[in-house]
Amino acid sequence: MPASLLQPRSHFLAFGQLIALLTRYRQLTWEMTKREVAERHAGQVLGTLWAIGHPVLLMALYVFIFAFVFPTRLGLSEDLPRSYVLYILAGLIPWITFADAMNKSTAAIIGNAGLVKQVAFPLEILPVKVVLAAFVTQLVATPMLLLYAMVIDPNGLPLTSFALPALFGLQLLAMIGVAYLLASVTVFVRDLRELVQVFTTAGLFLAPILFLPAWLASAWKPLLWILYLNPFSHLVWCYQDILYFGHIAHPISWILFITFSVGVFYGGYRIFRKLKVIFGDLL
Amino acid sequence: MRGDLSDPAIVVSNLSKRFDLYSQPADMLWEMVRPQRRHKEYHALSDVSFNVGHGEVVGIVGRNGAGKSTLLKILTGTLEPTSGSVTINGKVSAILELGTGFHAEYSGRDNILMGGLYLGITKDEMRRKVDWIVGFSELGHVIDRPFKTYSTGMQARLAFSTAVSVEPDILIVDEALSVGDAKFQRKCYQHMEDLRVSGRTILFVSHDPRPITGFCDRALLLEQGCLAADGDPRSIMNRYNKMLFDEESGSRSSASKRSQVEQIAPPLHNGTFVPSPSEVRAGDGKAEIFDAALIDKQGQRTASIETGQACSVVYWVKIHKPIDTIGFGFRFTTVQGTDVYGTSTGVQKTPVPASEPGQIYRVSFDLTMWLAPGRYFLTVGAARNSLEMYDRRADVLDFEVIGQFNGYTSSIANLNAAVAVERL
Repeated sequence: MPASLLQPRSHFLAFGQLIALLTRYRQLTWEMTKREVAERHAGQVLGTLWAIGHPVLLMALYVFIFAFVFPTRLGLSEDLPRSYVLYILAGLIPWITFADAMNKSTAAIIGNAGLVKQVAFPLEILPVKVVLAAFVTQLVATPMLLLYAMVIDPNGLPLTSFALPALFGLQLLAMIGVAYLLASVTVFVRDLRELVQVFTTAGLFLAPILFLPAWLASAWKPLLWILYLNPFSHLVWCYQDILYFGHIAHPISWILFITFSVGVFYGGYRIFRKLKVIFGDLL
Repeated sequence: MRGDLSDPAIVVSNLSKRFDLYSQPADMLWEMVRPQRRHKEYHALSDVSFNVGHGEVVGIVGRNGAGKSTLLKILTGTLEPTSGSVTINGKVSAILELGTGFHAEYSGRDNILMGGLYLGITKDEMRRKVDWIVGFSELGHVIDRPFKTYSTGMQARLAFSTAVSVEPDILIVDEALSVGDAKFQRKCYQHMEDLRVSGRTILFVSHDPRPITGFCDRALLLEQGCLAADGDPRSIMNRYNKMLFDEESGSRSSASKRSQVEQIAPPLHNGTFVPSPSEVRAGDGKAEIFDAALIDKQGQRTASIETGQACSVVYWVKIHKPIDTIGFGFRFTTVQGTDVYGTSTGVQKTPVPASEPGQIYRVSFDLTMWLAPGRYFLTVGAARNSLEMYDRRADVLDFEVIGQFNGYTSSIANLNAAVAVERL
């Protein structure tokens, strides 16, 4: 398998295979995604409105605490060409979405045991619908960021923002890959659920979302390595590049994140396909 | 979607399914890094092979844990075989354990829609089917209520209606129908009959012998993961019942004990006693039915009785072990396994005098043969009560009812109706 990881042809085939499957079962994928979004808020007064309300409130909270409560309100500079609020939002939105997808995907198979054991349908859809449902948060929150940048920020929205759809695509690829990996491995090692929860909670501080790496005091500089080793740091840098800095400030992050997305998609999908035949035995 | 009709609908060859049971999930990880084995193997199916043709209705019977559900899950595609292969020609629709696959919070209507989507059917197509499903299941008044509020009978209605609405080539039904009410069950059987006539294949699991013998063309008996028998439903059911019965009375050896019993004085009446080959015998052997006969008006053994004539069921019983009480009974059943009549000394409150080992009883029931012409089976028994059988010889004799009859050929009783039509 390591050799095949380097073969673009087999990557492309795996991708094509999944696209064909999702196209064939597009109605099922769409219905399941809709229901996943609705179910999260089933029985609540505001219902599906929370799909919008939850990310909005969460963003408001982080922005309020880190941009207004803590005295880190710095003027615009070389390091911070736009408002600090925009800096936070650029990285926070994709991270919340990704973390949500990871947490939910650990339950994508084990949480649907009845369905997996009793109904013959392509299980590949289960992690995908979790990712798509999580992505709704991002689709709701991103326009608010764009609006904030255009209306409130003195320097406006960088032109590089037009690369957003491409980055969305790349992020979706990575999320689907990670979801496949977590959904299938959790069937065997259920502890993974807890580990992922801890990781996603800590992850907010393991990536340069709320701070600039330059702000780490010199005594803490070795911690930078954690930042660089965390693939989600590179996701955050990519978003910051196009939405905040307005130029490719982190070229290596782009290379690493593209590699990560393609690699984790292919690897996750392959592992899922390999393990899915024994899901029925273990649930 | 339908496969070539010349191919069998289902081909199962050398199918085996092994579950590796780990006492804790971590053992699985340990096994990957160290050669030591840390799991127990459970063979749910071992080397099972059979074919099912298009239009065949096949019943599957077996005790709990015999591998029935595993087999159906593999055929449905939710479980992968360990070895061997399964070839399915056509679209499969399955009703497995009741309620699973349905979402408790969704309404009946939403569950119908999702059920279709899982099978790859489009939303538009499913919407067109919803009316039919609602009509067939008679759930119009609750179809928009959440599935969790449904009674098990309603769940069965929805499951069956949805499964057949997708017009499967192969329908798999696992026990699910047994919870429905009798009226709906009949509707289901009627529908499955229509499916059978139109060349669809049906696989059917049930603990209830009646649908197996009355509805299936063929039956498979699974025992400890192996295909123990494959053949005519009636003989398979008999074998299965015997298996259950022997297990309950804990007397697997009783058959051999009985065969050692010496032949006892020749009974009255001419002719010899030849038990039917499909007879199923069970019991603990404390008493033995060593002869049974159907006796006509002339006092002769017979295998054919004219409808409306008097006759007797007679059998002889020898006591082998001390017993405190004994009762006798018989029943007639149709070829499909339906009881048409039965009675016993217990039901008729006829006391039976006590006895010592060595005692022989002659039991006779005089009756008028009000069955319609056709083939029937006689079952006779000697028991302490309904739970403790000394000797039960199911289908010990088969006989023909013949003669003048003024009803439909499908009748089982002769009510001898007299017709009168007047112009008023």
